[in-house]
Amino acid sequence: MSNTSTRRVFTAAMLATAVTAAISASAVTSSSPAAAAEKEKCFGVAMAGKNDCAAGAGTTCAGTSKVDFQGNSWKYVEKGTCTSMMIDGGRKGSLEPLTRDLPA
Amino acid sequence: MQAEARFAAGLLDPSAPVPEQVRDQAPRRYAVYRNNVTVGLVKALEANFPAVRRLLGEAYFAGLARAFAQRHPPESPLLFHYGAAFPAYLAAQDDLSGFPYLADVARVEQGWRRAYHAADVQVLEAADLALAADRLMTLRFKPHPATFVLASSYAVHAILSANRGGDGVVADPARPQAVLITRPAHDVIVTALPAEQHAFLAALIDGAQLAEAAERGFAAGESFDLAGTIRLMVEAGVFQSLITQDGT
Repeated sequence: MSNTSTRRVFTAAMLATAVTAAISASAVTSSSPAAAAEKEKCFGVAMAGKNDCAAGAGTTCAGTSKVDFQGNSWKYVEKGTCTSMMIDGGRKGSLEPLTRDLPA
Repeated sequence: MQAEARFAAGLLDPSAPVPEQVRDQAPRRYAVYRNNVTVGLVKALEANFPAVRRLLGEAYFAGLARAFAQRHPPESPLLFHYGAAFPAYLAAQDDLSGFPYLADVARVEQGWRRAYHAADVQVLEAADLALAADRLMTLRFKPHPATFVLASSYAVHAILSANRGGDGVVADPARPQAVLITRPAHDVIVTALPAEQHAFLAALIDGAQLAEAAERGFAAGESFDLAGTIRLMVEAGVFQSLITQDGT
C-alpha cells in the first residue's frame, strides 16, 4: 500500500458528518455541562470531614467539618434537593449557614 | 542584605546560624518558627500529591518532601500551588529509578489541582459548533483554563485512580496511557484517552485547525472515532469557545 493511498484527506463533508453525529448524540445523553452546573451549596448535610472544597494545601475548608451534619459546612448537591433531602434526626439542609451541630 | 532577607535566609536550613538581629528570648522562638516553616511546606506537598505519597509510603515521602522544601522555597503565598518543581525533582532522583512513572503521576496531580482552582468559565456548547457549520475545516478552539492533557509512557490514569481512593493495585503500569483533566462545572473530571484521541485533542489545544487535528488523530490510529471524540470534547468541557477569524 503506498503512502498516498493510506493518507486520509479530509473534506468539509466528512467533518460535517462527524460534527453532526457528535452534536446530536450529546443532546441525547444530556450530560451537558449546563446540566452538570445545576448544583447548589447545601449547609448542614455533610458527614464529618466530607464537606466540599478538599483541594490541597491552604484551602481552609478542605474536609474540615468536625461533626456529622455540621451546620456551617456545606456540600454541593443537585439543585433543588438541598432543603428537601432526608437527613438523620429530622434535620434539613439549608442554603444559608446554620447554627445547629457546631463542633464544641 | 536587607533585614528580611537575612531573617529568611536561615529559615529553610536548620544548620544555618540564627540571624543576628534576633535577640534575647528570640533565638529559641526562631528555631520553632524555622521548624514550622519546613513542616508547613511538607504538609502542603502531602496534601498536593496524595497519590505520589501513597506510592512512596508516608515516611519516605516526608523525607523527600523535606529535602525538596529546603531547596525550593514557595514562589506564591498560595500553598495549593506549592510544588510546581516537584515532578522534575522526582524525575531527577536516582534512588527513585524503580518508580519511572512517578514524575508523570505528580504532573497529573498538579494538573488536577490547577483544574480545581481554575477560573469558572463557560464551556463550549454543542450549539456553538452547530452555528459554525459553514467553516468546520478551519475552526480553532480556545482551551478552558482547567484543561490539562498528558501522554505518558506509563499507565498514569490507572496508577492515579488506584492510588487516590482505589486499592493501589495496577496490573500493568508499563503501558502508554494519556490522561485528560477538565472541570466543566464544579467537579474535576479525569479521563483516560486512547492515543488517537490524545493526538486530536492535544493538536486542538495547541491551536491547530479542526481538519488538521482530525488528520493527526487518524495518523495516530486508523480506529480513531472522530465523532465520539468531538462529543467527549464538548461534554468534558475541554474548550471554552471558538476562536473567531480575527483571532480572538
